[in-house]
Amino acid sequence: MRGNGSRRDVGLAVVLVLAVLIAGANFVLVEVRLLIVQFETRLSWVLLVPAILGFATGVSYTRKRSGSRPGP
Amino acid sequence: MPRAVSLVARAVSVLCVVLLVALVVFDAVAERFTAGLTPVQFSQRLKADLLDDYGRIVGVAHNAGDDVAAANEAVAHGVDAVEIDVTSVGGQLHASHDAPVPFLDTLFFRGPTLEEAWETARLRDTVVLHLKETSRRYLDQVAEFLRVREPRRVIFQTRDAESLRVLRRTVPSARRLLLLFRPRDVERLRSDAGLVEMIDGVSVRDSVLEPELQSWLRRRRLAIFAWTINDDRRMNELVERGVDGIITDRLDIMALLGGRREVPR
Repeated sequence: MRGNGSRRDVGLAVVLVLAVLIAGANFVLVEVRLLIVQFETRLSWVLLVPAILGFATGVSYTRKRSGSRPGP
Repeated sequence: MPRAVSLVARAVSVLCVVLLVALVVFDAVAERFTAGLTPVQFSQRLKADLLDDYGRIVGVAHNAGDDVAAANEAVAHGVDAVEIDVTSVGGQLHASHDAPVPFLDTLFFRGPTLEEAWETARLRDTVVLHLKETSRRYLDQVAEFLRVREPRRVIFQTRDAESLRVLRRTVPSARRLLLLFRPRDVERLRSDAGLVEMIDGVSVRDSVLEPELQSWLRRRRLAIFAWTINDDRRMNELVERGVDGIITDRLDIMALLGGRREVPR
């Protein structure tokens, strides 16, 4: 259990370090056009925010499905 | 052991989250270290009466070389000289006001190279190079950069007297200005006769440039460049007292000092 916990911590740390590097390397203003909405933001956030939202949605969906599945 | 790994990993995670939040909150500061400082150029209606002797003053576009668009705009307004902040990124010369993030500079920094800034700055007769570093390797790089390019009237400005001594040997044709930020810098200059002898002039912060200092510099035949002058009444005052260069963010002042009485549209 402890091994799993530390693997998860290391995994999270690696992902966050990558996020910082990606944010720094793409810290440039871009204009985002979402059909009717238009705004200026950093390319870093355009890359990272959807990735985080997508990942979080995937994890919560998987958990919900495995929770509702009947046991053996 | 896994516990120690876990603790380190958590500490790294917290640090990364703090960094990401800092990037969001301090957006403008972060931009300075990743793209360089974008010069804030603007125009205003002149309030002061015009003088007759602007022609002998060198108008310098403050930090305009750090952003190619700003440099182009300054050149279009007829500025006499473009100032470029010269810094080293991954061993290459770039134009940037602030030193990029160490170790990650080649990944993070996306400001113009000195070559790109020079391409625009060389459209005018004079180029002002503000030297941000002092290492011998960096100074040799700057000298080599200038050696292989078509001659331009180059003015170096730095706060490091030793750099000016080195450049006197390696780029003898350039003019050398010592940067004066604080009264302490002025005292150092006043007390060092060798330094006064070695430099061609000073580039001095407006708040430090008292009339008495200006007279002292004049008596020693040192050129005076004042920064950052964005008020035209103050500009007139300095011109009447006898400065040689005005470093400004104002496009209309650049146009005026460059010999244009009307700002282009």
